[in-house]
Amino acid sequence: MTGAGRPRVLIVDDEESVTFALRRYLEREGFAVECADEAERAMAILDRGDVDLLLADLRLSGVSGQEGFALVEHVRDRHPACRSILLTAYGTEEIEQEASRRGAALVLAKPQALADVVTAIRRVLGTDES
Amino acid sequence: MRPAQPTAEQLRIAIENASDGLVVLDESNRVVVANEALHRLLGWESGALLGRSLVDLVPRDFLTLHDRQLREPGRHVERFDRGDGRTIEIENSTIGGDGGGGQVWIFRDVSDQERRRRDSDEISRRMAILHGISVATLADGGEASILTAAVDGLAARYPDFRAVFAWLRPDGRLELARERGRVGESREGRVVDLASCRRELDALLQLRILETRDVRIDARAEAFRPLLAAADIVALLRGVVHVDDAGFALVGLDAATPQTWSEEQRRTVEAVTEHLTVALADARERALRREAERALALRESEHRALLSRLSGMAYRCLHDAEWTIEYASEGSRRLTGWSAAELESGGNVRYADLIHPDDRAALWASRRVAVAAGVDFSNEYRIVTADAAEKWVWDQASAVRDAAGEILRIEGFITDVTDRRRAEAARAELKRVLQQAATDWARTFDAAESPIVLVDERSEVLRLNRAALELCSAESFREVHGVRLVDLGGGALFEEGAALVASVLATRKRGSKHVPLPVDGRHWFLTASPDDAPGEHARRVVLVFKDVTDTVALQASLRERELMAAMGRLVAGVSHEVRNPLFAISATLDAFEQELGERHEFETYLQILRKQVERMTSLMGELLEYGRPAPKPSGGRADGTARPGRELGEHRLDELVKAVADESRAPAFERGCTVVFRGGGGNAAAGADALGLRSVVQNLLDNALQHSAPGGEVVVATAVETNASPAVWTLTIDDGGPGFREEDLPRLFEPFFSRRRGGTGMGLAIVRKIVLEHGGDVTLANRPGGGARARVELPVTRLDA
Repeated sequence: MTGAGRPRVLIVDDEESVTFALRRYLEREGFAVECADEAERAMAILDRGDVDLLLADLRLSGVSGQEGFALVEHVRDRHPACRSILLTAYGTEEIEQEASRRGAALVLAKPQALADVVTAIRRVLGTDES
Repeated sequence: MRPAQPTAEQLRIAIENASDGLVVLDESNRVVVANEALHRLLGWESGALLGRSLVDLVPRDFLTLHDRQLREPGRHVERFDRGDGRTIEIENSTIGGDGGGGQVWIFRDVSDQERRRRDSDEISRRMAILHGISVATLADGGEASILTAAVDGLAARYPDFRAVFAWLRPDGRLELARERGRVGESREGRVVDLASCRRELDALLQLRILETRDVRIDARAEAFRPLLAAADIVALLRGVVHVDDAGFALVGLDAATPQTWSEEQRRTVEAVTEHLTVALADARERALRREAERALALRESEHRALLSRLSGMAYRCLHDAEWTIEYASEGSRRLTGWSAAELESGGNVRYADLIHPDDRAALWASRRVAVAAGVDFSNEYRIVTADAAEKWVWDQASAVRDAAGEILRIEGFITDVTDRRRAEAARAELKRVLQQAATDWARTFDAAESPIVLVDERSEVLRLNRAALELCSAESFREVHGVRLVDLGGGALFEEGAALVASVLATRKRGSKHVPLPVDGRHWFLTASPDDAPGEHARRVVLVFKDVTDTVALQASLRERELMAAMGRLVAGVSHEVRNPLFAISATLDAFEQELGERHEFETYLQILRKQVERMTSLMGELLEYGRPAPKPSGGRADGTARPGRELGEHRLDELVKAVADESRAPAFERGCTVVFRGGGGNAAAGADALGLRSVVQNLLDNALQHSAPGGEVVVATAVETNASPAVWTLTIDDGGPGFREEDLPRLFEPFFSRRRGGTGMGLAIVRKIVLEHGGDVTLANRPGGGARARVELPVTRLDA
């Protein structure tokens, strides 16, 4: 945890409306938020080393439709202190297992109430009240 | 012995009674004497020739005979053909002392004589061919003419000489001919019953059987006296056994012959008789020799021809186990590979060694038996030739014995029958194979599950297999053979078959047709092929009925599955694509509400948006569920799209249903309804996706509750039908609601079909999808007493889990 105790969250999604809504919501919930719309930019931000949590869509602009996995692996390999949550519209058991194997803490299915997303982030970061 | 000179009177009588024509000419060639016979022979009235010239009597050609007689007095004989098929012999001699007298002409009809000789020769020849030499020698027609000549000669000399011809017939009757002349003709004869001398007769016949040619009956006169008395024979001249059915001929003198002959006369008769005996003996010997020669020549040429034609070996051997060959024909080389010289005794090869070792003992035994029984030996056996080849031969032989019956040698003929044996073996094998093939074919034909019918060009049944018999409900082939296809009683199916056969007969091309039968819902695929076998049966047609009901059902099911899978992929794709913007909307809504939710004026807008987003989210979830591929029963997750939390495995179905029913009690209570569970499924279990099945039960139960009025009762019941294989577990959910509209019943399981406000219409579609994925079936119906019934059937994998 860095800075003035505000957890830093990196949101990666190629849908601008999604990053907009998430940024506004999370900031109001007390998170420091940064956004990226593709994997390369996201990695650059991650490599600064101050991100506490990666919230990435599984499918980014790319051909595999599973670019999010690469980000999760990058975090696991380079930034062990950082945690990862994947969002996906294709929620299946297989994706959950694969994400877990690559180091993601959680997979959330789209659509999802943002309140529940915040709860999940807090639980993953170990900062929830309970 | 010189015969005595006849007197003029005797001569006259002899001339008058002679059967030959006699004419005496004087010096000027005028007829002075002409007998009755001459007139008959030359066709003149009796006595009409007297005083006429010789020129009037005979053809001009025969005047040369007269001229010659004048030049060279003596005896001359000429023959001429009278023109009507009869041959006349003319004997001409001078009479009257020193040649100054006239001439005597004797005209003799020799046609019969010639004919008899020819006949006799013909008989002899035939007999020779048919029976060989021993029988051929019996046929001697010469004796009869000699006998005739002798008797005629005597009669000519002694006018009172009366010969008796007695024919002893095989039937035991004696036939007498008094007329002197031809032997074998019975003129003015009488028949004597010989019952009184049966013993003698038998003795004679016995003699004949013994092939005694002539019998000196006078030597046994005492024994034959009754027979001679019966024949009126007082002095026996000859007894001759004839070969033909005429039987036994006796020639003697009858009582009319003067008993008081002079010594000279007696000597003459004796001399003639003696001469006759010698002549007969000579004739017989000549005939014997002639016939023997003829038969021999015949046999030899026949044999030579046979031997040269046949690829066999003629042989003569001793009757011993070594088969010592005395003579072998040259066919031996072709037959055995050894020359005749090598095989014959003194050669280096023993025939017995050529006989196949396996056949040798049996063959020798067989030959001994045949020889002992006096029958011909005929056997087929194997020989081994010089080049070690095995041949089948046919050996036909007989024993040659001497007069005492001792075996002198064996004579026979051996032919190569290898080809025939091989052909027979091949034929037998072919027959066996054909029979086997026919049997196999019949079995295969009957074993075929598809009905097969063979029909002729009139569409009449020639053959059909067991399955076809069952198809037309016939008991036996006999019932339907020759019956027309359309009359077989199979209804539309056979009518379609007959139509197909007709088109195949017309086009000679194979045809087929799919025949669905509305009556029993079965599908048949008919194939008719022309029987292309060449020959008389070229216009037959083979009709095969194939029951494709299952295939058609499978195809329909596959089509539905494929359709559902394709639709699933589409729906899942759409659903995924919709979920992203849906999340963008819901996330924006959340952010909006977070920032501005306190403000009262936005509340209604937010509620509406929130509700519609939720509805859309729910619909997307259902669509995704509907489009999800079936889980693999093995538990694998290879498809990559299975919903999390699947519990694939064997589940007790009643437990599963009871749990859902229990959970629904609370919401039911809220509606004022009750849920009753009647578990009759025991411990039946099925390999199932528990979550999926739970949602099926839940969905159907929710449906039932939604249509139940307050106070209504929903009955959930299970049962197991164990008489099916596999056993079937059934679930029925009955409600007391209004039931379904009749027109809705066929569409209830269609996606998006819903009469309920706000319903997505996916619930029942998903129910059906899941049940079908479990190999089961689901139906919705109205109960007769009112209300609806949902019924689910699932195949049971274990009855007592």
